This record gives sequence, C-alpha cells and structure tokens, in this order.
Amino acid sequence: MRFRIAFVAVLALLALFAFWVVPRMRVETNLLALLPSTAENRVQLDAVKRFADRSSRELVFVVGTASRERLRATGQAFAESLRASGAFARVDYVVDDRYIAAARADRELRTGLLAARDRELLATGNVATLERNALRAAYTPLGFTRPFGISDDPLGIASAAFAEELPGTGRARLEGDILVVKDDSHAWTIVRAATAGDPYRTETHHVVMSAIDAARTAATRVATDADIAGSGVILHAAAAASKAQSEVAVFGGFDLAAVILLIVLVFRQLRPLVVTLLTIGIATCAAIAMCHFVFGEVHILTLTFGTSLIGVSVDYAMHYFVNRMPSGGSVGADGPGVAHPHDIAPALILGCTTTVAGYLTFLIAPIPGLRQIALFSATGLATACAVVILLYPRSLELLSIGFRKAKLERDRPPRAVPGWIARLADRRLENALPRMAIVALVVVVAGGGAAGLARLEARDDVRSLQRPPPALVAAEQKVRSLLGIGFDTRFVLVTAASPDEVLRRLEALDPVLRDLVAARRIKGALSVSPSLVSLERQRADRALLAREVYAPGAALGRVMERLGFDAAAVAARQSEFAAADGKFLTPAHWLDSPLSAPVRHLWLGALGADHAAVVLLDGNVAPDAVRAAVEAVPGVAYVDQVADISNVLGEYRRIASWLMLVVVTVMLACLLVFYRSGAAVRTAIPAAAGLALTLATLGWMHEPVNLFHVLSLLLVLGLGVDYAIILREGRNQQAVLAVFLSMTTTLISFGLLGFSSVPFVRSIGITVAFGVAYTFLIALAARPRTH
Amino acid sequence: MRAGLLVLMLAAASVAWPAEPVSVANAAQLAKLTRDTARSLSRAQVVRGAFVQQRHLAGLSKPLESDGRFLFARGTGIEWHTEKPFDSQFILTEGGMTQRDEGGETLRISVADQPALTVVSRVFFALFALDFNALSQDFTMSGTDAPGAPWQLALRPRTAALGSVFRQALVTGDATVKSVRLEDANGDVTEIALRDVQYDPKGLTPDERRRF
Repeated sequence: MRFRIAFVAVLALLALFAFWVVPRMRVETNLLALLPSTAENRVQLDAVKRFADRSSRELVFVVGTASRERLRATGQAFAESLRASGAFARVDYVVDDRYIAAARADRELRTGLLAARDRELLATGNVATLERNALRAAYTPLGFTRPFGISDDPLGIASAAFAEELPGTGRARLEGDILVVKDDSHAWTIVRAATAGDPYRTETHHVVMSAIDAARTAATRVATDADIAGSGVILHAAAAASKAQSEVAVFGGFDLAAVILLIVLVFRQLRPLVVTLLTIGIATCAAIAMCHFVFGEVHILTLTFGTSLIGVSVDYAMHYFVNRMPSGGSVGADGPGVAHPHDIAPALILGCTTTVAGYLTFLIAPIPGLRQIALFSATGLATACAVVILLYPRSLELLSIGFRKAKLERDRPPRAVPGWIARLADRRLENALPRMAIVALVVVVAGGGAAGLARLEARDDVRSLQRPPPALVAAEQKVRSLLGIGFDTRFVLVTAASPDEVLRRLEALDPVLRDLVAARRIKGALSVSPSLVSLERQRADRALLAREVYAPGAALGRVMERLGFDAAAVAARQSEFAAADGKFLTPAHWLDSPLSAPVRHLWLGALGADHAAVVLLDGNVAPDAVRAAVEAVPGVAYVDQVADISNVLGEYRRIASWLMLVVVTVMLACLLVFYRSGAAVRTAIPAAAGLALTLATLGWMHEPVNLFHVLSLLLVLGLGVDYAIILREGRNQQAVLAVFLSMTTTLISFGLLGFSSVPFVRSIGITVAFGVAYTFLIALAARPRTH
Repeated sequence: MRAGLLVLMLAAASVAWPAEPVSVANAAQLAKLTRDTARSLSRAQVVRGAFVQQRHLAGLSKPLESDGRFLFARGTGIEWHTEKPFDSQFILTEGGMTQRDEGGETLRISVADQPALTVVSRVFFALFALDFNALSQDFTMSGTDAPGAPWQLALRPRTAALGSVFRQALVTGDATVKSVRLEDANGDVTEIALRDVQYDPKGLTPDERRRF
C-alpha cells in the first residue's frame, strides 16, 4: 500500500515535471537576481530594478582603425550590420540634425526655457550683461555657434537653453557626422545600440552575440585592422550564461560518469545502476519543479550548483545497497558471504535530516541565489531519501523478476564488500603505526593547521559573487578610457509623489551637483534636468522673461533696435512669446521628442503611486562626501549597490560564523548526553577537526574567507557528522564502505564545483571538498574499536 | 534695349564665371586650384592679417559690420580679434573657445560640453589651412579657376548635422585668401574680406603665444 501511494506520487511528479514545468520553465541568467536586495524601501527596490532592466539593454562599441580615412566607412559597416541583424531595437551611429530639427519644431513650447546662466543674469538684475553678450555675438564668430539665427533669437536665449540640455560627449569629438576619439595609433568612432530582446534570455544572447560577430566581420572587410571593443551588461550576461551552461554540462557529465563507474566497480550489478540513476533523475526533477513553483524560475547557477545533487543524493541509494552486501575478506563479524541487512531507514532519515539542515543554514542569508540553491538541494535530497525508503525494496524485487526474465541479470546473491575496503576496515591506525609516530603526525597536522589558521583573512566583496572574464573587463576599460566618461554602478535616485515633484527635486539637486563638480568630487553628472523642466520653473522663467526681456522697452527691444531691426520685427518676437503663453513642455511630449533620447532612460516614470528619476555620476572620487551632499536634498537617495552588497556579505559572514560555533557546541552537548565523555569527544573530533583543517587549508591557499566558505563549513558539518556516527554505529566493513562511497561521490561533485568560473560556486566547491575529505580521514582514524 | 541688357548681363556673368565649376576630389586638385595660396600656406606656420566682416541678416536692411585682425597658427589655434565696433578677442583652439572682451575673459566653452562648437572650429581651421583632408570630411568641394581671375572654392556640407547650420561656404583668393562667404541655413549671409595677409614661416611670437 505504502509502495503504491509512493509509486503513484513519483509518476505524478514526473508527469507534472514533463507536462507542466518544462513547457513553462524559465532559466534565469541575470546575475543581479542572485544578489541580495539592499534597497531601503519598495519604491527604491522597484526603481533600481527598472533602471537596471533599462540600462542592461544598452551597448556601446568603439570601432577603431589606424586609417582615419576609412574610419567612417568602417563604423558604418559595423552599424549597418548590427541594424540588419534585427537583434537591436536601436543602433545609433551617424549624428544627424534631429536634435536641432526637434528644437526648431518645438519652438513655441521652448520660448519659456532658460539656460542656468541666463536665468541667473535675469534674476539678479544683470540683464545688461545678457544684452552686451548678445550684441557681441552678432558681430563676432560666437554667433556662428548658435543653432537659432540672430533674427529668430536675438538674445541667444533659445540657443543657450538648447546647448545646455545636450549632454557632453566626453573625449569624443564630432568630426563631420560621426563622433571620433583618437589615441596614439588609432582613430575610434562610437556606435551605440540597444537590444530588442530581453537581455537575460539565452535566445537574445545568441542573436546579439552572432550579430556582433557578423558586424565585426563586416567592419574588417572595410578596414582589415578594424579593432572593436564593446561594453554592456548583456555581454556579461551572455558570457556568464554560456559559461554556466557549459559548466552544467561538464560537471553533470563528469559526475554521472563517476557515479556510474563507482557503482559498476563496487556492486557489479545492473539493478543498482538503473535504480540509482532513476533516483537521481527523480530527485533532480523534484528539485527543479520546487524552484519553479517557489521562485517562478530556475537560475542557471542553481543548475550549476545542482550538479552536486548527483553526488549527494546518490548516498542514500548506496547506503541501501551496501547494507545488503555480505562482509568480505576473512574477518567479517558476520562471517563471509552472508548478508545481514539492518533496517537502515532511521539512519537514512537521520543522515538526510543533518544534510538538509546543513543546506537550510543557507537560508539565513537574504541572498536569493543562495536560497534557491538551498531549496533545490534540500528538495532533491529529501526526495532521494524518500524514494530509497519507500520504493526501493519492492521495486527492486519487481525489477529483479523483470531483469531475470529479460536475461539482463543472473540470479545470484549481492556481491560482497570489496576486499580492499574490508582490509582497510579491519586495519587500524594504532596497529599500523608506532605510538610515537601517531603523536608526531598529530603534532605536525595540528601545527600546520594552526599556521594555516593564522594566515586566514576575510574579504567580503561583491567579487566573491561574480567575476567577469578578463577579456570583457579589458574591453570595457578600453571603451571607458576612450570615451573619457566614467559612470559607474553608483547613482543617485530621486523619488517623489508626482512627476513634477521629481523634476523640482532634480532642480534642487542641480546646484548641489554643480558644487560637487566645482569641488572636484565628481567630474560631472547626467540628469533629465535641465532637458526636462518642472512646470514651476517654466512658469517662473516665463514670468522672468516677460518682465526683463519681452516687456515693451526691455532687453529684446533694446538689443534689436541697436542691431537695426525695425519695430515690426520686435513686435513679431513679442507676439510669438505672448502666443506661447500657457504652453508648457510636459514629460509626455518630451519623452516622444528626439531631444530626450540621451537621457530618456534616466526618467523612470511611475512606480506604483510614486515617480522616480536617476542621476548618473561621472568620476565619483569622494563617495562619502557625495552621499552626504546629495542626500541633504529631500527625496534623494544615493545608491551604491556594490558597497551595500559587500556590507550584507560581511554581516552575514559574521552571523554564519557565530552560528557555526553554536552548532558545534550543540552537537558536542548532544553527543555528551548520548555517549560517555570519551566517546562523545571521539565522535565529535572528526567534524570539528575537519572544519579546522579546512579553514587552515584556505589560509594556506591564501583564499580570503567569505560568507560562502562559512556556509559551506556548516554544510560539511551536516554531511560529515554522519560519518563518525555511521562508523560508530554500523557494522565495520559496511560502515567503512558506505562512508567511503558517500565521501567519494561528494568529493567528486564538490571538487568539480571547485573548478567553476563563478567565484561563490567555486568557494563552496573547494570548501566542501576539503571538508568532507578531512572529516572522512579523521573519522576513519579516530573510529572506536568495533563491537 | 531689353535684349541689349540681357546680352550685357550674360557678358558680365561670363567674366565672373570664366570656367565651369569642377569637383575637387583630392589634395592635389585643391593645391592646383589654389595655386600660389597653397604654396605660401605650405611654408607658413602662422598667417596674420586684417579682416572686414559683414553680416547680412534676415529682417535687417543694412549689414552688421565689424573689423579687426586675425591670427592663424598651425596646430595651435585661431585668434579673431574684433576691434570695431568694440574690442573682443575670440580664441579658438582644439579644446574649445574663449572670449575676452576689453581684455577680461567673459566666456569659456569646452568642446566636450558643446559638441556643436567643434563643427564651427573645424570649419574655421580648415578654411584657413585649406587642408584637404580636414575639409573633405565635412564638405564636398568644387572649384572654378581661370587664368588671370581669382580662384574660387565652394564647400557644401556632406552631412545633415552641418547642413542645418551652413548651407555653403565660398572661399576666393589669388596669391592669398581674399574672402570667405558663409551662407547659413536660415538665409543669413556672412562675408569676410581679408587684407594684408602675411604668411610667416616662423612660429608665433612669445607675446602671441601667451594669448592662446
């Protein structure tokens, strides 16, 4: 009955997985999804997410060649090829007249706009300076720099407002209609693009990366020495995803091969192999399904880490088969050739509980990626354990009948424990070595361990979570240094209850940013303001212009008269201004205009009941001073996710370290209750000494310890505490074999993770691999004499 | 009478335009067109002279006239010193522009802050240096040349961005550049006549260098 219910449950799980989960499954490749959220509130969280979503679509390329004559055509070939691929929603290369055309088309809405300098002159009664400059510009080459002619804009007010709102180009210069930067050997031009598809979907990665490759080839056809460097979040996402995919395949493949080899070598029967592989499959399906239902997606790194499930979940099946093995060699307690299986369900449940508890400690850190890994592993292990306990005896009988009918298996008793394990189990360290040698060994190991521990240091930075490939970092650095614009991940977030309130706050922030530039704390800032102006400021500016410039006999009349315009021309300008009364530049109109393009992504718009905008900082060299200055403005928050994440990692590393001490103490206390003092210490030593030696090894490796190492040690405790208990409680040979197999598969799985390119997966991999190896060796050496 | 006038006009036209404009497609053609100017320019480090500028604006019956002195230094920049109707120095370098009125600095704009300024500064530089490579990036060029008459070079912007500011520029000269005519997109025309143009193979005087 129990078997039937469990069997139906497994079938239901597999059906659910195949027909519901698989068609809907979304593999997340966004590394940001792994990071802890450090936002102070809901709006900030949404704002950071929306801004990240937008900016992760943006790409900047520099296309260079030694031949300046070929530069335009090379960039053109590159841009055209990108455009033709259809992978991009936007490709910008040639600078055309769209900005000036848009400003001319919006002339009516823009008559009330003022540049900061002109506003100051008018507001402080310095209109005479404005007039003087206007007269000079009419006679000197300064007039040539103006997008609006002197007749249309005699005071240069519209021209100044227009010039102020276009962002600078950093080191790049407009040459002809392309932006050009020169270095020692090359001339470079700039191509910008935005991906059409979701930058965190692997399909988008494929089309974007192959489009870039094709564009590279197209550029090389024009200039054979064409050199192209790109920068953009999607390049990181694509590199990380393809790396993770290949790691899943390689690690999973190696793991499976190792498990198969081990089973074939130890059991030499078909049934254990088939049943074990099925168990791994069922456990994996359950784990993926659980993540899908709880998180709505499965992260690619969960799958990378999930390959370790193969090596850990296989333990329960192996315990089951080892238990049914007769002892080998000559000195078996039960005599050779006869199997005396125990009821191992309690032992399996105990082992599973400690391991799952180890994984559940991952949940203490508010890191979504780690939580997904914990849930994935815990679900997989619990499933594997349940399958072994509930399904194995009966299904093995059924399989045995089937296999014999199909002549796949001969009828013969299970193979005995291999001879070398039997010999290992029967030989004891204290018999093999003289007492002095053992003391010397312990002293040397303890001394080495102490020296290693002394070298240990901690480092909690975001690089422990991800480390982009060096080639990508170099390309990004090249783009940055060529463009001369150093926007980084730190930015300023402005939120308010209405769009106009956001603009007012941005305008309040402007003078603060100008002061920071003047004090050389930042090089510059990129903001929606002054391209988009608050209604309040537009009204105030109009009033200022009406009074100081357009009133009869005011600046406009005086300047136009001096230049020789007649009264009708003055009246025409005045009535144009009057006609535009009550017409304002609105966010909706601005967003539709080409003029907003350079900063449109900074306007986040509505987030629930709130509205938000982002201000980017260029060359932020004094983050503390910048934070203090900008946060003095109401509704303004300085966002530094990297520092915040490092703080979170450090805080939880300390919490996890304390937790580890508590767990070790509790474990020791429990053992003291169960066993007499000497035996308790003997049982606790392997796990505790294993942890200490692992930490010492990390010290010797100059591997700075972070949260992930500490959590892995808790996992080692969960995996390794069983070893001593099984060795103490189980029958000698079978116990040694079971623990040996368990350790080997775990070592292989986590050892493979130690080769991962993702730093935190690697940290967990090496820590657990060393941890289980040390724990096993010490447990084996320190095991009590068998009864 | 009418026919006679027409004949006279045609005759005048044929004097003003002795040859069909031909496209200037490379540096050699430009050097050939501008003859002596090109030879003098190739040896000069510095060009000094005086100018009279007339600006014809839409809605103005008489042009805005200014005069002063100019200085072009290869690789350094241009100083455009307006003396009348007021004293104003306009200094253009690779990095940006500075305006000094009556000796005091009134305005400084970096090219990084105002990309449009680059266009103006490039046009000015290229016009004075008659540098084919620089000019051909921004303009298509055609020239008219006949023995005994001044050569004329017409420059039309290649790109929409520049076209929205300049419609065309005409440079006329014989042994030196004589005049530059800039036609704005909005119909304004600026005529600059150059006088006393000297090509100096030596560099800037220390006093001049200080002003940049």
